[in-house]
Amino acid sequence: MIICNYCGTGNREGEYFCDECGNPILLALQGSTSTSTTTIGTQELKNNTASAFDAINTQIYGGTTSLKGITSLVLHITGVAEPVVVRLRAEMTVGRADVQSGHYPDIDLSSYNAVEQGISRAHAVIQYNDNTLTLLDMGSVNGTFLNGQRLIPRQARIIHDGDEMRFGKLALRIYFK
Amino acid sequence: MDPQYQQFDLYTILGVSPSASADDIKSAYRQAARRFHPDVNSHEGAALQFKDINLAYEVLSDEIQRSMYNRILTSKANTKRPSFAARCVPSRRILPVIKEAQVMYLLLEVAARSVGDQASTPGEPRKAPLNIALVLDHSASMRGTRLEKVKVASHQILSQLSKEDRLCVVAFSDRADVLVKSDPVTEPESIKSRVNTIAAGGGTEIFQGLSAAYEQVKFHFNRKFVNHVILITDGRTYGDEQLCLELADDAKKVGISISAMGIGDEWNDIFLDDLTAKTGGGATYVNSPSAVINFLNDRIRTLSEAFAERLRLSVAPDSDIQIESAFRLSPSAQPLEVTSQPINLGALQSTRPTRVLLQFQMPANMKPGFRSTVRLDITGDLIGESERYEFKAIVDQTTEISAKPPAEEPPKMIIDALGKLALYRMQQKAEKAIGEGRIQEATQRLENLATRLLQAGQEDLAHMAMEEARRVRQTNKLSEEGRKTLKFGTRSLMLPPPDESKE
Repeated sequence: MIICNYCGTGNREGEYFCDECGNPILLALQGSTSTSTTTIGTQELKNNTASAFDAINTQIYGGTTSLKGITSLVLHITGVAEPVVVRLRAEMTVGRADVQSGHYPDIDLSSYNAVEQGISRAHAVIQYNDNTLTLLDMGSVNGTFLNGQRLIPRQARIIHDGDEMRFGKLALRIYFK
Repeated sequence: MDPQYQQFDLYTILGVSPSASADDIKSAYRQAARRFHPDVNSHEGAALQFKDINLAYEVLSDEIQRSMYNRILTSKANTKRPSFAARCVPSRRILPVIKEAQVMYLLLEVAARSVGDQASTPGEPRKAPLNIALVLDHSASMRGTRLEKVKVASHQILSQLSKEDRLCVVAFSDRADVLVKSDPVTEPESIKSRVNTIAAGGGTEIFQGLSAAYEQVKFHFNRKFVNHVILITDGRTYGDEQLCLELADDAKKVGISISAMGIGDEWNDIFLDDLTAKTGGGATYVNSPSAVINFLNDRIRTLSEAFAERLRLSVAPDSDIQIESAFRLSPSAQPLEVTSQPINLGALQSTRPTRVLLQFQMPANMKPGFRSTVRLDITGDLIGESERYEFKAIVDQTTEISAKPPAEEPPKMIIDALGKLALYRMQQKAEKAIGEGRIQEATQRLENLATRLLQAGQEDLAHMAMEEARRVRQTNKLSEEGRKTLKFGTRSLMLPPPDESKE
């Protein structure tokens, strides 16, 4: 099984384009390995796939999905100088705190004009499993976006190092550290 | 001996050399039986091909019949006849040993070979005479520019036709008028003036027009000719679809192909796709009436460059391998139905190879070493021969399996085709999601499609996909124009660029 780096769908060995989202599947995976799942760094990707994919004008962007040696996430919120650092945990909820109902998300965005930015109380969840990080929209009113694409609620998408995420109108970039 | 089999190279069918000993022949047959006998292999293509293999064995295993057949072969070797060649390129030459099922793609290429041309390069263009019918929709909705452009298009193709060719023109609405009976094109001016008399009015009943034209072409059917019906319509036919499809089945048997062009948004693309695909033809969508002219000119040109007609492909994978899909990439892009074999590929052109992309699922836990994978049989009727002359090309594909295969890059042509096929499939999935009421998924798919189209440099289509995503979110459905533009637009991406025909 080869996991699509864009949408996380499992594809059979031998496929070159994800059956789910149509994006190219990294060719470097297909060859010397017989393992079931592999993740791949940016460097390998450039070396092995560039020539075949140049032909179809495909741009592969986004960094690694590998979390080897990663302990925390750094969130650079657009227009905010100081980045937010979050320790890596199995599940990190994203939203705005609501004192009345006693709801406190792990990543609390209420100090960034959350209501005006259209952030729901339980907006999204960042999950950490199988050594990859995924983003899940929790059915928020104004939506969660990954690299400009709106997520289908409760459908996980893999996060790459350096991806842009948007919660409502609040945009931020995520870096692995 | 079945006279039809005298035409085929029985040695190739059995996969032995003409100098093979009786033992060689027996063991080749045993091996084929182990792969394709209906008791061990349930694929429809395998059953078809095993019949051929049986017949070849019957002749070659019998001393007397074999020497008779050899005499025919020797006499045939003196009179050189045109033929075609087939070759296959796999997505990977060496497959890995893994515990799960994996996918393998094969790109099949069939190319014409003229007499005296030993190389597999395509021969000189040669002009085959045409026996064609134009079926023109003149229902009320065709009034104005549409009908005018159809008339101009019909006039223009006359300059491509000569008195060697036969043309029939039928105009139809809810009834059919045979304007020009199938005759050699000797007086193009009189045909023009008769086409000019067509006036718009009435409904659309395709069967009326189609059957009138089909009868004409069938009556003058000639193996030396390219026998073809071209339907141009802008409407949806009601209630007579089944009759049309039955006509297409008959056409397939006789050897007449049908192609169709839909103008505007109302025509039923699924129906016309089914209708034409049965016969090896194809359906095209034009959103502007002036494109009719180019389409028709192009269609006549490609028809007259036909080298072989009724190219049929049967696919016989080994019993543990599954065929999953087939897509014709060239000469025109068309999804093919793999459940009913042989698969009709239409005409083979003298200048441009026919290309088909085949998708297979390979079993889990394959053993290292070489293994047979699939046998392909491509049969076609060569045009210009006095009697029916069928030619068969066989490809028996073997693949290496290795625990440690080297990293390899798939052939550019396969990657190129797959990248574009992925776009077409995304469009199809979005359409399916809408049909089943999964609106959010559909919008997501359309947005993904837009992004991928943009990356592929298809700005207009990307724009259309974005617009349709918006529309789906608001109205829960696609506009007909958008749906057809995306469907036929993503499909036509798979066509090779025009200059490639002169490779």
